[in-house]
Amino acid sequence: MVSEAKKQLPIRPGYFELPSSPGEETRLVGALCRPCSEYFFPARSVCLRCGREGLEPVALSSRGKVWTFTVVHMPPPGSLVTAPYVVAVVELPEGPLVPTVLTGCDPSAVRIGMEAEMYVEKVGEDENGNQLMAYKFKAA
Amino acid sequence: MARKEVAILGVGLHKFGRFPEKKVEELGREAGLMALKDAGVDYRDIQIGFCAHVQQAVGTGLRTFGELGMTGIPVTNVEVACASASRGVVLAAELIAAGVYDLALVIGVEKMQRGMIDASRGAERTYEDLLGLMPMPGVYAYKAQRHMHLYGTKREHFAQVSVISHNNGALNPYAQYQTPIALEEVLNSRMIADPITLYQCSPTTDGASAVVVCSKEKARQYATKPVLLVGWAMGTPQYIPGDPSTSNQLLSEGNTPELARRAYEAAGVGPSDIGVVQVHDAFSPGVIFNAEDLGFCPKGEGGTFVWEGNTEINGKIPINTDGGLESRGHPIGATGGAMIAELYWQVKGQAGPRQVKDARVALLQNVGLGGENVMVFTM
Repeated sequence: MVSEAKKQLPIRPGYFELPSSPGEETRLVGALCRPCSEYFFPARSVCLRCGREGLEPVALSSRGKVWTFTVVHMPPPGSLVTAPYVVAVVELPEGPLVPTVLTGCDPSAVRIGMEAEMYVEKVGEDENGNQLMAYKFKAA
Repeated sequence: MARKEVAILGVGLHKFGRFPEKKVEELGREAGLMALKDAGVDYRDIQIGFCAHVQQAVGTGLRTFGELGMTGIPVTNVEVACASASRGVVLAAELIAAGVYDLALVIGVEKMQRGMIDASRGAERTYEDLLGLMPMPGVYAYKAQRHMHLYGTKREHFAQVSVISHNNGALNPYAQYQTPIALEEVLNSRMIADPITLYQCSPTTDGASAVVVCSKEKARQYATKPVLLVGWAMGTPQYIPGDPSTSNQLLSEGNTPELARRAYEAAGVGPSDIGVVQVHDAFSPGVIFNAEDLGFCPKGEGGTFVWEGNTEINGKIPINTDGGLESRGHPIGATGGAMIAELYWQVKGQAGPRQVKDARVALLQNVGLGGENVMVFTM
C-alpha cells in the first residue's frame, strides 16, 4: 500500500491560510467590506456596518498589540490546552480583535499593550496522521 | 390601543442547592405553587406559561406546568442562558401590556452537573473550544484585566464583591451558601482565570423560581397595592462601528448602558431614584462593571465604589441583597426569577433582615450568553 504524504491542515477551516508554496507565510484570514473599509475576524459573510453580503477574504497583519488577556488555570471542557496557559485578545492594525493563545512570555509578565506575532503550530493529528495546525501569537 | 400596565402578583422559590433525589419538574412545582399561593391565584386562571431553562430535556416546560394542572394553555420554553427567567417575565409583560393576556406564570428551573459548564450540547467543538480561548469566567476575566489596566482596579476590589455577597447570602434562607467568607479566603481560593478565583465564581446549582405576572387592572382583584413592573428593555450585544469589542462574543454579552437607558426612560426614573438592585454577578467583577453601566458611579470607579461599602445592604445603592448568583447560587434557568423575587420582597418591605431602607424603586439587570434584560419595579 502506498502511503499518502502527510499534510498540514488547519484544525478548523476559515481562520488562516497555510502557505501553498515555499517562502510564503501563513496569514490570518479576515473579511473586508470595501465600501465601509471595515475588517472582520473571523471572516464573516455580512457586513455588520452596512449589511451587504459578499465581503472579500483578505490576509490580515500577523503582528499586533495585546488588548487584554487572562491566565487560565482551569481549561474549559473539550480543549487541547494544558493549564496554566495565557489567552489574549490581540488588536491588529486593521482593527479586528483576535482571540489567541499567547506564548513566549511568563504569564506574570504579560502586559496590555505588548506586541505579539502570529505563528502556526501543530496541536494534534487526524486519523490519517495529518498534522492539525492552529494559529497562536508569541510575545514579540 | 394604549398599553396596559403590568403587575407582579406573586413570587415563589425552591431553595437553591443540590437535590439529586428530586426531578426538575418537582422543583418547579414547589416554586410555582408558592407563587400562586402568594398571588392568591388558582392555576386554572393562568392563561399562558413560560418555562425558563437551559440544560434540561425537551419537554421540561410541559412536565413542569403539568405538575400544576393540564388546562391546555400555551406553555413555551425560554432559553437566553442566564437571562432566561427574566426574559420569560418580559415576554409575559409584553403580551399583557398589549392586552393579549391578563395573567401569566413564568417558572424557571434547572438541575445541573457539578464542575465546569459545557455549553456545546454535544455540537462539534469550535476552534475557540479547542484552543481554550473561552475559559469559564471568559468575558469577566478579559474585562477585569482591562479594567485593572485602564482604571487601576485592584484584585481586592473584585474579591470584596464576593465577601459582600456571602454576608448577604447568610441572611437568605433560600441561598445555596449561607456562610460569610473573609477577603483573604476569597483571594487565596483556587485561581480559575486571573484575576477570578473560585470564590468569585457562581456555583452550579439545582433550583427553581416562579413569578405570577398580571395586568394591573386584573391585579386589583387580588391585591390592594400590587408591585408594578414599570419599565423594561431586552436585547443582544449591539455592534458599534469602530469598536470591535462590541461584536466579539468573548468580550461582550449585552449592551447594559443602552438597555438601562431605555428601561429608565420607560419607567420615568433615573439611577438616583433606585433604592435596591439585582445585577448579574456570575463572577465578582460583574457587580463592579454593572454599577458603572447602570449609572450608579462613574466609569472606572466601580472598584472603589464597592470597596467603600456603597453596595452593602445599608449602603448608598444596595446590590444583590440576597447573596446574588455567587452566594444564592445559579441554577441557570431559574436565576432571573430569583432576582425578581428578591426585588419584589424588597419593594413590599418583606425582605426581613435583608430589608433596605428605601426600596421604593428597584432595578434588575440579568444577562447571559444570548441576551440581556433590564427591568424597573415599584409599588
